[in-house]
Amino acid sequence: MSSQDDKRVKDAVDRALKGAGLSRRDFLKLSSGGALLAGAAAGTGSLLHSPPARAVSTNARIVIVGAGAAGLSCATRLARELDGADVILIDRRQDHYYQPGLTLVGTGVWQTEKLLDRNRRYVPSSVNWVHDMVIEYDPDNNRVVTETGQVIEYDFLMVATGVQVNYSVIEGMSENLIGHRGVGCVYDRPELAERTWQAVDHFVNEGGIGLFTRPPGDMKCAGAPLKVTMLTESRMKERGTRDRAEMHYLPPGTSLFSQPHTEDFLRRNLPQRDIHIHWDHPLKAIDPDRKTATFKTPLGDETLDYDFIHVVPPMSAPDALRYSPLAAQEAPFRGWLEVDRFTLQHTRYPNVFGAGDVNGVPVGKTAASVKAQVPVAVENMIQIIQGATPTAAYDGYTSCPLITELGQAILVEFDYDLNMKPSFPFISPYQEHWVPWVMKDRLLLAAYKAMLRGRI
Amino acid sequence: MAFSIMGLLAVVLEFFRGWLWFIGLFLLLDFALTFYFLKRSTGCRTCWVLPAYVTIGFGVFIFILSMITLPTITKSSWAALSGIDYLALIGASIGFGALFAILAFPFILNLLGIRSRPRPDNTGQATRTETPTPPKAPPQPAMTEKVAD
Ligand SMILES: Cc1cc2nc3c(=O)[nH]c(=O)nc-3n(C[C@H](O)[C@H](O)[C@H](O)COP(=O)(O)OP(=O)(O)OC[C@H]3O[C@@H](n4cnc5c(N)ncnc54)[C@H](O)[C@@H]3O)c2cc1C
Repeated sequence: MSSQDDKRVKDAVDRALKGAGLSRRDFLKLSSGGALLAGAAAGTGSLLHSPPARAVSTNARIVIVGAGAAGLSCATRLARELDGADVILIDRRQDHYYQPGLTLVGTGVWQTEKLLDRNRRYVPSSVNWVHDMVIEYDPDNNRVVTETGQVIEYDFLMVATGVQVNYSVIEGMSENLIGHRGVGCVYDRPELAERTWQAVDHFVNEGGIGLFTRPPGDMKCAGAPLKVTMLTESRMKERGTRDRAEMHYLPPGTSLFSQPHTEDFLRRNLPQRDIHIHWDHPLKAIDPDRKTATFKTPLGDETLDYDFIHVVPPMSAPDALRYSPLAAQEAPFRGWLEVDRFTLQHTRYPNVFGAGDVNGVPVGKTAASVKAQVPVAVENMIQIIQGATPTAAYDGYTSCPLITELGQAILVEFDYDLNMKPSFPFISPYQEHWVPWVMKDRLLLAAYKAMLRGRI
Repeated sequence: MAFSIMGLLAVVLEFFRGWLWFIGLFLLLDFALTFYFLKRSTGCRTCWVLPAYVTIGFGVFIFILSMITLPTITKSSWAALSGIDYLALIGASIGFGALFAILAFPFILNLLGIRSRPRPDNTGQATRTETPTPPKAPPQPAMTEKVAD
């Protein structure tokens, strides 16, 4: 951290303390007292309505942008761990949906209703929720500007805006096509995943040529395109229609999955199931009338016919952030939030932190990563509020319950070094099992909700 | 990623959140039934062995039912199971068996746990046996009784 950065943080801290009528020394005393009280309170806390373990007294103004998995989880934690802070959550979206379930809706395993929820249920009463979208970040003046023209100032900023799905990058593709003319995509809203299931269902019954794509660049849940492919194939076997279909998986490069053991498994497994892999095939365009898809291969454009195509558009940070001073200016994370991969603190604006998919970090655009990132980002932000140096570190933990068949999955969990990090050492991360399937189908939604409430 | 005990409990709580009212109601009913049984059984000859056996039998039945149906209920099949899955299936089935048995015990106890009711004029059998028996009167032929020919 440069001295200018230090100064910026100190200024923010002093402003916050001054507003509360405290000196730095008073503040530290209060904080340690608060921490002691918090320790006592934690022992008696009940799970249902845990009384907040107030740890740190501050009147800092904290703005959280985005009320998705990461934003809500940050809001509940900050509201619980800070006493007197002015926490503002900005997001226009009122509905909350469980994105990891989209794959299951898109393949007919779940009903849409199971995904649907309301943000209101998770926003703590002490948090001020602004129903608006940020269109401009002005970190030099510690403020954001919203679509309706509100200028909201902050002492500390948590960016948790997730990713933006860029349909327009694929010529001929639009959201309206999903569910029609053999086009599917599970990467958007639940109703589009439901429409995808109609297209998948038709393909499973009728057969034909199925193309399953994956975009270049960073994306959320890189396992989802594989899951859709394998679940569709599994459905065909279930209905006895497998011999009616020709299935192709088209990754943009020369790998299927970042974790090497899982990569090996998939390289064996897909061909065994007669799913043809076409390396270096990023989708460039689709023509829904003629039912053709064009891929930009190293040997030139290649056009293939399809009866069903699973389109996964390229993803980026939302435009407002992507073109802001907070975005990384250089590869490999150009356009993503520029954070230190361990502390999740912005590398140029130390009063800014990031959580969730928007972070420019090597792996981890999953809800499982959110679970690991949020406690780190929140703890480090609180340390900065206290005038200390951030010490908590995110190790890159990410997880993917890779569904290989209906009723079977591999629980793949790994870190920045791509080493397996199994939560339950008795479940092999190298083999298909029923237990991870049950976890995905029955338990992970509960874990997700516990995370939104800041309990795990 | 390690899960703490509190973390696991929080997940379990979220899992059952929609059903908490029902579980609460059921537990209340169980407590009420147990209390009712203890009240009713004062002065009665109680039997714990039969209800215990029936409860264990019920638990075993649920265990077997779970073993057979859990893979299908979870949209999977027996063919998908391997290694650790069998252990998990057995563990989960034992859990379900035990849970259902515990929940059913107060009901079964009320149905089968009381052997005989107290006589209206006595408070209990122990008192009755201690009461000195009145001297037996010599048997009188009943008025209607036929005298042997
Ligand atoms: C098909 C699919 C399958 C998946 N499968 C899995 C899985 O199996 N396991 C797993 O762990 N993860 C999975 N994920 C990934 C997981 O859902 C995401 O990683 C997680 O939701 C990320 O949380 P987030 O808060 O960063 O973003 P989100 O949950 O997407 O929330 C972002 C929020 O920011 C808001 N926002 C955006 N821009 C602005 C703005 N300018 N101003 C204000 N608000 C803004 C949005 O409205 C949104 O509410 C899957 C995702 C998909 C799509």
